[in-house]
Amino acid sequence: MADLNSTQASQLGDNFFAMAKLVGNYRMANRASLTNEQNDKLKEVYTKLSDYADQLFTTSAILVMNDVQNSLDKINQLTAQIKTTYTNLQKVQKAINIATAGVKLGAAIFSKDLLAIKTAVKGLGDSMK
Amino acid sequence: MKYGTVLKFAIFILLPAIFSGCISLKEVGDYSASSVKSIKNFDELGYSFTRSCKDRCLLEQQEKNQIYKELCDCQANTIADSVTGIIYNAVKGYFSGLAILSGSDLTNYSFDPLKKALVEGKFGDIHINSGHADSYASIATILTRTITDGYRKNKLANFIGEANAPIKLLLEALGANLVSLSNKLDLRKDRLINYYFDLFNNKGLSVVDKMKIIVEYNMVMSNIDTKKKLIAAYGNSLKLIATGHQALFDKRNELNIAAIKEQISQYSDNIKTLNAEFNKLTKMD
Repeated sequence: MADLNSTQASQLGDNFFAMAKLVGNYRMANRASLTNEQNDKLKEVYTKLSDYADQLFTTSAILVMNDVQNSLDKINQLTAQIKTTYTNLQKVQKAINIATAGVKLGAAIFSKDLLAIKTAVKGLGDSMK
Repeated sequence: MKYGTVLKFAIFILLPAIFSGCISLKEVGDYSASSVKSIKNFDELGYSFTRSCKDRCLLEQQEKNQIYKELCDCQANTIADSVTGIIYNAVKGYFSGLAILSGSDLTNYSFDPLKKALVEGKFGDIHINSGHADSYASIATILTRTITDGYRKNKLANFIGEANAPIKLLLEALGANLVSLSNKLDLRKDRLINYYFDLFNNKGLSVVDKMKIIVEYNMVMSNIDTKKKLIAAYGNSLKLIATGHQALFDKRNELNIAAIKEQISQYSDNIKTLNAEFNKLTKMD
C-alpha cells in the first residue's frame, strides 16, 4: 500500500466497489435459485470486496497528505505573513493615537497649564502601551 | 504659504494619488469573505470518515445479528479526518487572512482625536479654528488611506501570486478527500440495499413489518442522498473558489481595472449563490 499514491488508491477503490456491486446485484437477482450456502458465500465475497473498497477510499484520503505537504507549508507560511501585514497596518491607528497624545502634550506645555501637562503626559504614556 | 494655499496644494497633489490608488480591495474583500463563508460550510457536512467507520461497524453487527464486544478499529478513518482537517484549516486560514487584509476596517483610521486636540490646542501665536482642524483631519485620512491602500494592494498582489499554485492544489486535495467520503456513502448505500433486501425477504415477516422496513429504507436512503448532495455542493464551491483565485492571479497587477472588478464580483456572487444552495440542503436534512 505504501507505493500507491492517492489517485491510484481511489481508482482501485472504484474497481473493488464495481466488483462488489456486480456480486451483490447477481446475488439479489438470483436469490430464488441460489441455495442458502451459495447465497451466504456470495454475501461473504460481497462484504469482503466492499470492505476493500472502503479501506482504499480511506487510504486515498490519507495519501493526499504526501501530495500536498509542500503546498501546506507554503500556504501556512503565507498566512502568517498576511497576518503580520495586517497587524502592522493596525499599528497605523496606534501611531495616530500616539501623535495625538503628543499634540495634546505640546498644547499643554504652550499653555503652561501644569495640570494639563500632567494629564497629557499620562495620555501619551497610555497611548504608547 | 497660507493655510488655504497649503490645503489647495495638498488636494492638487493628493487627487491623482487617490484615483490611482482606487484599487478593487472591495472586490478582493468580497470574494475572500464569500470564500471563507463557503469554506466554513465544511462544518455543516455532518459526515466524516470516522462516522462512516462507525456506521459500517453498526451495520456489520446488524448483518451478523450480533453485538461486538470491542469497538471497531476506526484509527485509519480518524487519520483520514485529521488529514482532511489539516488541509481545511490551511485553506480557511489563508482566505480568512485575505479577507481581513482586504477588508474595510483597515481603511477607517480615525483622526477624530487629533482633530479634537488641534481645536483645543494653542500653539504659540498660531490659532487653529475648527474648520482648519476638520480639513486637516480629512486630508490626513485621505493620505493615510492612499498610502496604506497602495501598500495593501502591492502586498495582496504578492500574496496572491505566491499562493496561487499551492492554494489550488490544496483546494483540489480537499475536494478529492470529499469525493472519497462521498464514495464511502455510495458504498454504504449499496451495502444497505443488500441488507434491506435480505431483511425484506425474510419469510417470517408480517405485512406491517414489511411496511415498517419500506418506510425505514426510504428514510435511510434519503438521508444518504442529502449528505451526498451537500458534499457535491461543497465540492462545487471549492472549484469555484479555485477558479476565482486563478482570475485574481491572472490580473493581480491590474486590480484597479473595471473588468477584473466585475469578474471577481461575478465569482463572489456565484459563490454566494452556491452558499445559499448549500444552506437550503442543510435545512432539508
